Amino acid sequence: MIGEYFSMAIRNLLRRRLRSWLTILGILIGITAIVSLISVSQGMKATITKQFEKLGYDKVIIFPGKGMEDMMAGLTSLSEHDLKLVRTVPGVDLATGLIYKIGKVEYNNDMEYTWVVGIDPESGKKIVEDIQAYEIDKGRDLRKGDKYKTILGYYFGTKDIFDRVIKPKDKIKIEGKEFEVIGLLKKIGNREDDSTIYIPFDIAKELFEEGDKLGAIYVKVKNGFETEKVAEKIKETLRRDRKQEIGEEDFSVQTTREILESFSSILAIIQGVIVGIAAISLLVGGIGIMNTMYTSVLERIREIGVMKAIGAKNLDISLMFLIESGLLGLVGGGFGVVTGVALAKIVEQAVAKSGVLGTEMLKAHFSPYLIISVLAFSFFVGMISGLFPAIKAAKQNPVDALRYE
Amino acid sequence: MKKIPIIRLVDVWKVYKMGDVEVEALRGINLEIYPGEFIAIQGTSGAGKSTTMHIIGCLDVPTKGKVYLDGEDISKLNENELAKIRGKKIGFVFQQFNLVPTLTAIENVALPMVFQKVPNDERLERAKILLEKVGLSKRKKHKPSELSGGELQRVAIARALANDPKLILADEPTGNLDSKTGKKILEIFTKLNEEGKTVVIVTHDKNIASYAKKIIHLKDGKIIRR
Ligand SMILES: Nc1ncnc2c1ncn2[C@@H]1O[C@H](COP(=O)(O)OP(=O)(O)OP(=O)(O)O)[C@@H](O)[C@H]1O
Ligand SMILES: [Mg+2]
Repeated sequence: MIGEYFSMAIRNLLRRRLRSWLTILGILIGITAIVSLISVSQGMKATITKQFEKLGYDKVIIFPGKGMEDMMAGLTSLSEHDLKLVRTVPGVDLATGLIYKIGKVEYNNDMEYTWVVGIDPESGKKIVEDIQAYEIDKGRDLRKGDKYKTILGYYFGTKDIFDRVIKPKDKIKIEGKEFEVIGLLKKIGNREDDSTIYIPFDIAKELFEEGDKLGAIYVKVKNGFETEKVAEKIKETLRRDRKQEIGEEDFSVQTTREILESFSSILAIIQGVIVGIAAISLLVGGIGIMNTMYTSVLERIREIGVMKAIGAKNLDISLMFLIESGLLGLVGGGFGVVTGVALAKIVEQAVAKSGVLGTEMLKAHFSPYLIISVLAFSFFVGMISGLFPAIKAAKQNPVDALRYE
Repeated sequence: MKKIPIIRLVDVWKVYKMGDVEVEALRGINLEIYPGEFIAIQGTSGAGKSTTMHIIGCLDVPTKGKVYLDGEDISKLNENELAKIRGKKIGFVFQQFNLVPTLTAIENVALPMVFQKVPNDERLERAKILLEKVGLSKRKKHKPSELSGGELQRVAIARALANDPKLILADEPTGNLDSKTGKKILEIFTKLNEEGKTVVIVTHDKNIASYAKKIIHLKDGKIIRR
């Protein structure tokens, strides 16, 4: 019997084709928003988590100031003294200081400004490799004793930055000094990392006249120690050394897990807002369905009367209208899933092309669970929106309905 | 042996309230319809013919009075119980045909069986037989918009027969047809009655009423002559 009602509902929807499509459009927009936004942010979350897993949960990063922003702004309150102190904390396996500076780079009469990172090939290479995710593509890595040698990010090996491709053994100028290129990195996947230059720590110190200031300290925790506890110890040690109270710190200590969690909670908030907005547009779509169904009930009062005369119960009548409104929702949901997936793909491509986040950063993630629940939900939204019209239809007095012109 | 009437109306009143005004559509109708009868309810416009038919057909309940169907009092039944009775025991034919526009002829005929939960195959098989019976086997797959008035009314009659009801009620079944086509329709009712169905036709036209074996005259909500 339900099968019959479905087929009748489909025919009734086709009878008012334009109106049905317009109603469906209302739901489609909401579902498109939900599917595309959720799958993009789910994808983001998955990639971020994967990246953090790759770099391991045994790392601690000490930033000057309150966090990464201050470091980027070049503010720094960390020094080699702090590095030495950190190395004394129990559970610290390796600790290395880094210098982050924007530097002038010249090649072949051309000039660019880019990030220059000073790393210590001895103490830090292992950690930096994990944290910066860098891998040598051509040439070799920095070694102890290297002086005016440099490793370049992926884009220097293409025509993206300079007009000519740079190869190992080429010479470039950084802050006016000549350096020999000894290696080029594989693509990391984001514009900033892929146009970064690495030079030996001591040389960077000299070049930027930084004294003993550090841009950040990376720490690898020993096996068998709890990263969170070690981080807490580091914080305490630095605080005591600076004679600061809790909450007064001019540095911050974060484990990789904490960084991941703060990313995740930001993502969760963004997702919440997004779903809220999408919910509003779904509500509007639902009101559209309600409106359409009320109109249908009015148009079909006589038909309702006839059906009652030939034996339809109230439940039969309301079921017919509910299925119809549910189908409006479901079809809107179906098309919404398709356009949502397409939109997410477009966003993914656009972001990849612009390179701001890197190709890896944004792989939209379409879980079958999301799609099935979105479809079920849109059918449900349709049914709910059609509930009052269906009740109105079922309540029609058959005699009045038959007399209705 | 005294037969039990299919329908018995005892002092049936129907009063409509329109604001302060009360319209007495039926004023004390007493009526029995026995199995196998062919009755015409005749009267002028507004006499209360349709109202009577709706009460006979369990579409409506009286304001006052009793209605017995197969000896059972239906005036206290709820909507769903009435719907069940209509679906099983009564077949309606209307002046405006009232077919469902989205369904084909055969689907329209099968529709009352959908509500009685008859399985699909059985439904279509029976609908096919009924359409053959009213001479429309060639129009099975046509939509109402593709059929003539006479054809529409035949589909409607086939639909009224779907659940093999005892009682066929027709409200001005020829009202929208030319006299020649109307005559053909009335011949179908005559044939159905000969086959044992109880038929009640509502009309204002005495020529049409003359097809019936018994005529009930209605005026201002009262039976004035039988
Ligand atoms: N829902 C209603 N509200 C108020 N008055 C009504 C209602 N239905 C019917 N009536 C009145 O009841 C009276 C009988 O109506 P009914 O439809 O039974 O007449 P009829 O004999 O079928 O007439 P016709 O030949 O025009 O169809 C009329 O006066 C009509 O106006
Ligand atoms: Mg009438």
